Amino acid sequence: MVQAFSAYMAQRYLVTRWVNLFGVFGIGVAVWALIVVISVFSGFIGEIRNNFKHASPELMLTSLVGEPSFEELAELLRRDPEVASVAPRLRHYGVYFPRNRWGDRIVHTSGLTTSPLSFDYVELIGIDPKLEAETTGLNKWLSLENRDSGLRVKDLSDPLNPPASNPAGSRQLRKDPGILVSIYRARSSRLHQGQQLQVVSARMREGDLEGEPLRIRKIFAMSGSFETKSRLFDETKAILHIEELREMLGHYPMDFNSVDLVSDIAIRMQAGTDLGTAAERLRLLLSESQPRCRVLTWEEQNAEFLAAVDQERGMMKLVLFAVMLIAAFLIYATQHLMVMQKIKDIGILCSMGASSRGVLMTFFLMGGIVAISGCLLGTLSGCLSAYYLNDVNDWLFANFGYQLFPTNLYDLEAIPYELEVPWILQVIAGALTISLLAGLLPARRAARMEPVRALAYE
Amino acid sequence: MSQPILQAESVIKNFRLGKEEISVLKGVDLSLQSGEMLALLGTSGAGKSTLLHVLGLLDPPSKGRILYEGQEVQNLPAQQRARLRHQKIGFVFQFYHLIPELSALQNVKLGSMMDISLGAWWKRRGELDARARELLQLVGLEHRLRHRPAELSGGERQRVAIARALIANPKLILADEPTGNLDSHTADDVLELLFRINQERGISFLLVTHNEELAARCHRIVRLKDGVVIGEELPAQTGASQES
Ligand SMILES: Nc1ncnc2c1ncn2[C@@H]1O[C@H](COP(=O)(O)OP(=O)(O)OP(=O)(O)O)[C@@H](O)[C@H]1O
Ligand SMILES: [Mg+2]
Repeated sequence: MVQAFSAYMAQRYLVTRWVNLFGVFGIGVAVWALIVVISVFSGFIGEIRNNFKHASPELMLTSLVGEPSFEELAELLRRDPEVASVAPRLRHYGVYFPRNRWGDRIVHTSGLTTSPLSFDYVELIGIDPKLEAETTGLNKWLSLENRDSGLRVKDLSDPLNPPASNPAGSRQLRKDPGILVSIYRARSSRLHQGQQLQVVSARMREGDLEGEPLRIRKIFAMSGSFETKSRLFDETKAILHIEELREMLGHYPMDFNSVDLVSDIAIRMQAGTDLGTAAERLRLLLSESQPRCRVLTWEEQNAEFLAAVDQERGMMKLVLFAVMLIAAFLIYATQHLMVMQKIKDIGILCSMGASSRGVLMTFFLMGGIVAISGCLLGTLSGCLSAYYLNDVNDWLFANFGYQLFPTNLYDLEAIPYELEVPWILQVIAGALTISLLAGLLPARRAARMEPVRALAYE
Repeated sequence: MSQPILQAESVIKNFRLGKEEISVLKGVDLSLQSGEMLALLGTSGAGKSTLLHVLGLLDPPSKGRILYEGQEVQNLPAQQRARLRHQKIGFVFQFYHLIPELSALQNVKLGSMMDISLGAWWKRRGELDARARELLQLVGLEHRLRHRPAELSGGERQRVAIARALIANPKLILADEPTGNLDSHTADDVLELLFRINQERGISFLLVTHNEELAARCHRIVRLKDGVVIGEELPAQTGASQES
């Protein structure tokens, strides 16, 4: 039971002592930060997940051993009724040189930079365009929504067919096999459609690991650009026809001994399939022919990066929680100050018939009201500022050329945010718990005061 | 004679100061009748305030018994002692001890909030507010309701304290040198008020004072010295009347 005097005195102290606003403000700021920062982080993670989903096959069969044949494995995979389509992938590594710069530099002289775009080194991904388009988002990657139409492939049904080129110094038109590079790479290396790229790589001779490696050289022409929304993928990959890559690796389609070599198989499942259980099922399906293979969901394919961002969010929570502790300390300090200033009042209240429980309640209520107001203030302002974050950001940019969150750095149209109700409730519960505890300590101290000593206190 | 409202039997109070134990009350016996006005006289340091605090249940005795209307109370749980303090006793101190944040009216009203839930008080707030105003009128401060203690004179502050002591309808008021901090003229006014309350309302008073003249106007005088009662006397004109 709250006695009337406790509530009354708590209210009087609150309205007459502005120092309590510090506590309200402190908790408010902590709650605000926890809501805004984490909701932007969550929005950002949601955005990244969407992008990864956009850029990755639903399932990917990988970690194959020997010289796996696509048709053999595809046969097995298609036995699963929920498999909608499969597409082969072959990976190798290479360096490309644009035609106009062939051999113009032996060492890199451009400034030191960490962007993968500054190296003409890529992972070559061999695909079957038709199967790939059925299985992954290839057509979406090639459509370059609202982007450079000059780099867009002319015919989505035949994306690796570049326009015939007429290299400088040569009269005759020539037709090279097509290659796709990302829009970022095309821009940073100033590549254009039809541009010839010489791809250079190497491989070991079969069964001769000690011997000289074989050089690989092939001229391609850029048929267009892609953009998957996964920066990681876009910056490091170039896409070409799987048959071209097989030939580069010594597998000729006419050769009896050669197989339709793959390193991975992209898989699309029927809509509504639970990918986790499907992955496990497919792995079991292949356990005889590829006992060590793995089937990864799109999340698992990007697990490292997703885990890293998730971890950053966790760290952020920890840091902001420290802010919360500081805010709670502020409540402790102001409440302690109040108790010390009100020692005499405590004696007076006791002489009027207050019990020590009543005294405790008086100061605890005061701390509680501070804590609750702080939480309310923080939650309200946190939700509002997350909601209006983009307006504020745009306004700041328009008026001061400054951005809170550099949207262009992440190719975002707006700052993503996600107000997660469970998180907000968690923040409120956490803030209330620790600020009430912080208020309880001084209140207990007040309650333990001996009335006579308190009365005599000067 | 009816049962005394308050009895103290062999009350001992010791204080610990480090390793030393100071004996302040060394076995005090005292009783107070209903409606009686008792003066407690004694030199400074005799233990008058300590006795008042012990009798008022603000400080537990080290030994001895305290009885309110025949009931032993010194061993009651703290919660019940607090309730008893609220229901039976009003305190008036030398230095007023008002809450500085509250106006005169609010200080008095606070006295009606000590043992009532917020909800119950809210339902009765009109009645209790009227009662607080009535008491302030009784002490002659109806024109100072909104003044804070800092905006009142010493005499006015003590009147507020008296009104506050009355609001819970106590049977007994323990007053520790209520006029000790006032000039003689103001002191007389305040004392008149106390005598009037004693007469009109039948409230018992235990009045600590240094003032022999004042003591002489009370019903009975108890003298305290070094923690023991050294004498009790009845003044010449018992039942001192202010008409005289
Ligand atoms: N909390 C305490 N701790 C130690 N000693 C105390 C304490 N309170 C009072 N005393 C001592 O008890 C003695 C009596 O004090 P008390 O205040 O009761 O005297 P008093 O009769 O009211 O004096 P005065 O007329 O000056 O008010 C004093 O010597 C004082 O030092
Ligand atoms: Mg004294």
